[in-house]
Amino acid sequence: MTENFKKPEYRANPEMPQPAIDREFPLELIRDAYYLGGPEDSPGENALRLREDMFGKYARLGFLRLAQEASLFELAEALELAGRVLLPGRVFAGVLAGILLRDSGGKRAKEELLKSLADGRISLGVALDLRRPWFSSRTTVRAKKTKGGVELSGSVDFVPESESWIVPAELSRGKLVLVQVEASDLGVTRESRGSVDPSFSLNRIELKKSRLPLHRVCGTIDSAALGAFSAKASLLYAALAAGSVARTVEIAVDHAKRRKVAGGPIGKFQAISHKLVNNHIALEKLRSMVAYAATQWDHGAAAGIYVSMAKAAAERSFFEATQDAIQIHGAEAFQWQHTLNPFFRRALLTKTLFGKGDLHFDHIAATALHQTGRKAQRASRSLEGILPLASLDAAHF
Amino acid sequence: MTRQHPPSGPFLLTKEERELFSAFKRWLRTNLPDKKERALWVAPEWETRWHAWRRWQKKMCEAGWMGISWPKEYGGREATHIADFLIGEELAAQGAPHSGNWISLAAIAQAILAFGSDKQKREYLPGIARGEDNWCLAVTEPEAGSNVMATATKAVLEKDHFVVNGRKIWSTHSPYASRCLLLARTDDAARPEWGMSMLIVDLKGPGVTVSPLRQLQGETNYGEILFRDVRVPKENLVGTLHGGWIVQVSTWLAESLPPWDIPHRIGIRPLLQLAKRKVKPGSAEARRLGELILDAEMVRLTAVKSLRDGKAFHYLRGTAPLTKIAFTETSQKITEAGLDWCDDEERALWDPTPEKWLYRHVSARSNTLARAPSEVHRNFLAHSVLGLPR
Repeated sequence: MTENFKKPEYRANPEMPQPAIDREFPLELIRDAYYLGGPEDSPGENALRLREDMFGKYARLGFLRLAQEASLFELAEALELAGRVLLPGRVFAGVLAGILLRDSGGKRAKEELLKSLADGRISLGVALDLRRPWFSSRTTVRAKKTKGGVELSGSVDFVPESESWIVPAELSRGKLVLVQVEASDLGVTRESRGSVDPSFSLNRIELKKSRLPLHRVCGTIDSAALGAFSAKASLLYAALAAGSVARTVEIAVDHAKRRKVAGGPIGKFQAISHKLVNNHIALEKLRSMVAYAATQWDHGAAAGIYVSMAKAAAERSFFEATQDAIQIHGAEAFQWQHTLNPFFRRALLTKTLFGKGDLHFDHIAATALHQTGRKAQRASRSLEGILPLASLDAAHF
Repeated sequence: MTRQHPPSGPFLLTKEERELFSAFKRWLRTNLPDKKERALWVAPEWETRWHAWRRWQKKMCEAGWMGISWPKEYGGREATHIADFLIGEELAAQGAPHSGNWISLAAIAQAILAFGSDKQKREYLPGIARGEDNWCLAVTEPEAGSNVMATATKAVLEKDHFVVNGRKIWSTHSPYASRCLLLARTDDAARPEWGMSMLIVDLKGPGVTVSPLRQLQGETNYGEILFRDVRVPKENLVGTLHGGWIVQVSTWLAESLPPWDIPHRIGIRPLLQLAKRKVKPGSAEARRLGELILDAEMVRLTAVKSLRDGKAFHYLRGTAPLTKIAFTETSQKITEAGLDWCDDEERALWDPTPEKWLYRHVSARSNTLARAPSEVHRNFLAHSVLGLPR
C-alpha cells in the first residue's frame, strides 16, 4: 500500500528519472485546480472538480492510509515525495487526522473513522491553530458533558481546510477529549480565511454551544500528548517542505541549462550556478535533519528540539530556494500562472505555519543554554543507539 | 507513540559501532595523559603542539585506535567511517586531538589504500598511523592553484626513474614532512587531465628544497617545494602511469571529509561554553546562537549521512564537497560569533593560544581555502551533481 510513496529520490540533476509521483500529479494539475483565476477570484466548477479528483486520487494511491501503517521516518519520506507535487492542505490535514486517531483514538474511531478517511470517503482534519509552534500548542475549545453527549464552545483559527475535524477540547484541566465535528453541525460556523497559498486554504472554526452526541467523542488525550502530536505534525510539514524545495531547485536547474544568453546556457555562470549549489546544500542539510528527527522520534526520544530545528531549516531553505529560482528565471517567473508561483506561495505560508523560525531559534538556544546536569544526562540516555546531538550532549560541560 | 514498523535510516548505530565506541570511551577515560602533557596540546607554539599531538597519536595507535576503518592486514579494524567519526567527536569533547599528521591520514593513506601497490601499503601505512611519518601533498602550483589541470611540474620517465622538475606551493605540513605525494605532468601530448601521474617523493633526497611560508596566524606549517632534477624510482608511481588525475580527485575528496576531523573543526562546543557565560536567553544573540546550533547540527548530520554509505571513494563525489563547504563556512560563522562575544582583551590582543577566539577566528579563515577554495567545490557540485554546463 505504501509502496507508492517510498524511497524519495531527490533528483539533483533533472535529467535523472522522475519519481512516479511527478507523473501522477503533474504541476499543471495544481495550476488548473488552484491558479486559473487571480488571487481574488472564486474557483470555477472545473477547478473544484479537479480538487475533488486530486483528493480521491491521493486516497486511491494509499496516501491517506499511510498514517495508520507507517513509522514517522517512513511518513516523512512519503511527505517529502508529496512535497514535490505540492500536496494540497486538505490532504495534509487528512494525514494529521489519521495520526491523531491512530495514537489517541478510541476503538470506534480506529474501526470506522480511520477506514473512511483512508478510503477518501470523508474529508477530515484536526482543529488546531497551525500558527503555534509545537511547544506552545494548546486547544482553545472547551468541552462540557451533557446528557447523551458533549457541548463544545470556542474558536480555532488557521485550521487547514476540511469538511470535518477532530476537535481537541478541554474537559478538565489537562484532560482533553477528541470530538468529531462536521461543518454542517448545529452551532458550528466555518469561515474561509483564504491563504497566501490557494492550495493550502485556512479556515476559522467557531463552536457556539455546539451539542454533539456521545458517539462523536472519538478519543481522549492529555496536554502533553497533544504537544507531541503537534510536534509530529510540524516535523511532517518540514518533510513536505523538503520535497517542495527539491522540486524548486530542479525547476531552476533545468531552466539554467536551457535558457541561453550570448550563445550559452546561463547555468555556466557562477552567479547562477553557485546560487543553485547553495540551495542544493541547504536542501541536503534539511533532509538530514528531518530524517534524524524522525529516527529519534521513532525510538521514543523526546524529540522536540530536533523538530524545532527541522521546522526552522525548512522555512529558511524553502524561502531562499524560491527566491533564487524566481531570480534565475527572470521576469517570466513574476507571472501568476508560472510554475514557480505555487512553490513561492507555499514557501511564504511556511514562514507562518507551525511557528515562525525565530521562535524556534529562541527555543533551540534556550534548550542548549538551560540544559544542564541530570537533564542532559537523561536526554543522552534516551538516545542510546542513535547518534547523539552534539549541542545537547555538550550542554553540561 | 507506538512504533508499528522498525524505523530505518543513517543515524542508527550498529551493534559493532556501539561496542567500538564504548570500548574507546573506556580506553580514553584511563589513558588521557596528565594535565601537564594535555596543556601542550594547546600550547601557543605550533611546533610544541604538533609534537604533543604526535605523541598522543602514537599512544592511540598502539592501542589500535588509528586508521580504524583500514583493512585489518594494514593495522585497521575494518570499522565504519561512522565509528571513526564518533571517536573524533569524543576526542573533541574531551579537548583531545586526534592526530598530528592529519594530511597523511586523511589524504595520503587514503590514496595509498585505494591506488597503491601492496608493497607501498605495507611500507608506508604503519608509519603514517603511528604519526612517525609526516607527508604532504605536492599538488598546487603558483600559476595553477587549485586548477590542477594546469599542472606544469614535469616528471620524465627515463628507464626505471622519473626525473622531476618544477615548483609546488601552499603545501600544508611540507616544512615538517619527510615525503610527499606529487602530481606531475608525464605526457604533454595528452589531454590535460590524462597526462599526469602521482608519485611518492622523498623530500630529504637530493634536488628537493622546502621553504616554509608564514601564514595569517603567524605559523609556518605550509610551504613551497622546489624540485630540480629529482630522481624518483618508477616503483614510486601510485596508480597508473598518466592516471594521476583520478588519484588526485579521489584524494582531494577524501581529504575534504576526514570523519574524525569534522567534530574538531565545527567547534560548536566551545561556543556553547562561551554562550553560557555571555548570552542571555531571549536576546538577539541567543537567536543567533540558535541559528548557529542549527547549522552545526545539520552539517554534522549531513556528514554522518554521507559517511554512512561510505565505501572507498565512490560516496564522496556528491557529498564530500557539499559537506566540506557546509562545515567550513559554519565553522567560520561560529568563530565570528565567538569573537563578538568574548572580552575586548581576547578580541584585540594577539595571543596564539588555540583556545583564544581571536586565534580561532584567524585560523578558521583557512578552512574555506584549504583542500581547494569553496568556489572550486561549488563548481564541482554544479557540474558533477547538478549537471550544469561548464
